[in-house]
Amino acid sequence: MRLLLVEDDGKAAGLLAKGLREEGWIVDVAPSGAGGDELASVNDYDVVVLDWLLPDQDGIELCRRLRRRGFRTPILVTTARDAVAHRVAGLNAGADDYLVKPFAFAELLARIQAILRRSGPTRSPLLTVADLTLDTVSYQVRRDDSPIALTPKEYAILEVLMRHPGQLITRAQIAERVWDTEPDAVTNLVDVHVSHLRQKIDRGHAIPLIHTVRSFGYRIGPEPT
Amino acid sequence: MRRLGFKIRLVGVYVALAGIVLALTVVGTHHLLSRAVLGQLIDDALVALAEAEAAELAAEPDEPIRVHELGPGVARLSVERLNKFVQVVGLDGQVIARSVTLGRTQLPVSPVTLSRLRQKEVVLETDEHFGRYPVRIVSMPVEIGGRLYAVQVAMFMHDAHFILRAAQRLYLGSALTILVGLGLAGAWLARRALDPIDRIVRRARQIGESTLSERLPHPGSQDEMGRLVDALNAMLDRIQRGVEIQRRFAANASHELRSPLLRLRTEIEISLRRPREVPEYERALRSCLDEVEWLSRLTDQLLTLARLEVEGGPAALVDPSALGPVLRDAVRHLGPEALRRQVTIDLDAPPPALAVRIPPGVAGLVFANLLDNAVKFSPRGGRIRVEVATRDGEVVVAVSDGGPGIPPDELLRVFEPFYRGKVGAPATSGTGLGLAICRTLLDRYGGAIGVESPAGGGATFRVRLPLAS
Repeated sequence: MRLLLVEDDGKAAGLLAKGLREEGWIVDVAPSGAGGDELASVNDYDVVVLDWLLPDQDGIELCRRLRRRGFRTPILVTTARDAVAHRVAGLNAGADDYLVKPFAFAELLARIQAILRRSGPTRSPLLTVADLTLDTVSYQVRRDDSPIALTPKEYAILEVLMRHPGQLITRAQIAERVWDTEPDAVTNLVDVHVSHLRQKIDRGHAIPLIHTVRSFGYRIGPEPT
Repeated sequence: MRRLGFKIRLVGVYVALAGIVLALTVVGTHHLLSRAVLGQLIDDALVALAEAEAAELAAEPDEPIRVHELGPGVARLSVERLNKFVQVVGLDGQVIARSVTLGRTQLPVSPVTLSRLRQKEVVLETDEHFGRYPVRIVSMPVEIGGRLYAVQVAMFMHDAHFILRAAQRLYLGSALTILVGLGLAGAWLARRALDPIDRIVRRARQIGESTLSERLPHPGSQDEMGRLVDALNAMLDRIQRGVEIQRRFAANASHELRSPLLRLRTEIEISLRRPREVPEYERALRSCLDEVEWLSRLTDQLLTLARLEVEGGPAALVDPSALGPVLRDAVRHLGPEALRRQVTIDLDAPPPALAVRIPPGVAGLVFANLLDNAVKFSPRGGRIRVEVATRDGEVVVAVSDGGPGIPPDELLRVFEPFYRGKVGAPATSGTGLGLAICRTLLDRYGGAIGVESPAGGGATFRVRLPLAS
């Protein structure tokens, strides 16, 4: 899962990015509104964490502009201002949630998960496809109630697939959300990791869940196309 | 008891004053009218009659004294005489003759009148007790056959009385009508004049901390009311500016305090989320220490500023202190940092006797701040000049650096709390409170601070201190 962090405080941005990466996020950091705008229009993100006070422009202004352009990714605004009027202005500008500095890192994670749930197909922290479940809070994966141990990359790929059940997810989309490098460089790696993942998920089960869409990518679901 | 409204009092006073003026007018006019009526209609007629009677009496000194009136052979019958009374008295008060109209009564003649008649004066008087109406009497001395008598002619004043009574009623009626009219007109004028005030009061009641951008309604004229509204609105402008500065300060302060707190908290939380190697813990702790040091410095400066705000007002006169040692201490204090950055500080030492009325600690803090900024913004190998001049009872200390300078639009803002210029490397950024503290301190001790920055770069801060002469 890929996250865009727009924050002008370099040290805070570095710390938050480090923490998020350790939680399995692919994190891009933009130190200014213009940089954030550019990254948001070029890349595909699952969530944006946006600081209100940026050196070149208002974070809220950026939020409003992105929304006007049809940008649908959930946006979490962080700010040191806690007046009710500011919270309201932030939410009215199209932000999905609002977090007042200094916030607890665990709360940031929980709120990111919450706005992802709100924008996804299910409101539960548990992603489910047939008898396969993925717990986005405890990072546990089970099939038919027996736990499956996955590597972080395998887990991240499975989360991307399970957030869009039944949909075709291209190799590039997976690469972009799971690796922190140029997507083209890792499409072969995607195949390798998916084949490992498929072995752990589908082996010994009558119904395979991970399907290959030839020369495009993958899809998760109980029925083949 | 509540005081009556201004409008009612205004109309009340106005009507009362108009009433007094009208009453004086009525009394005066009535007096003039009575004099005219009594003098011309009555007194002149009475005197003429008395003169005629006296002339006839004087013309026949040998005849017995009688009143010339109705009677056989008397041709000059006068209807006028019917309501007039004539009598002739001796100067001892003895009635000698009287007209038929008097019947058995006689006109009164007082000893005062008699004595005035003896002086040959004509006496005009009014007697209230003679009949149903007041009677006007003229008494005129006349000499008949070498002896003095008095002819008295009198008439009831009821005609005049009626005229005067009618005039009185007319006056009072007009006066009351005028008074009521004036009262109504006054009330209307007062409402017209004071309605803008009511509107201003209503709006003023609505203006509070959250509605400070509202203004009082202007009557649209440049009269007293217009000037009052202009003055009040200008006052609201100043209050709004002050509140906005305070709000901006609070917002900035919360941002400045919360940012390091976020870094501190995130650093600690992320470090604790999973086991790490010792060097990583050490690095995290050192980074936390940096943040704590930063927070301490920020807190100190915020408290300094807050204390200055609370103490407010100008400080009492302070003892003179020598400027030289203060400047030398400040330069020495910055020495190591200047050396590290290869920046030279040239101090133009002031005369030893030069003293200023500002506590040495305060002046030291100001110059340490200015020199600290100058060193931070100076390029490697740069030169800082500290020059001292005296003029008009003030000492001016100029601190000039060869740094990038300050853009014109930032020249005024650099003294605002938390304002940091856009020029300057992040590594050299301070709390943004130093210059704000300098300005507040100098304000308090009767000094001042200003800054100039020529287009070519470099900045000169000029500190003006009160000279201790």
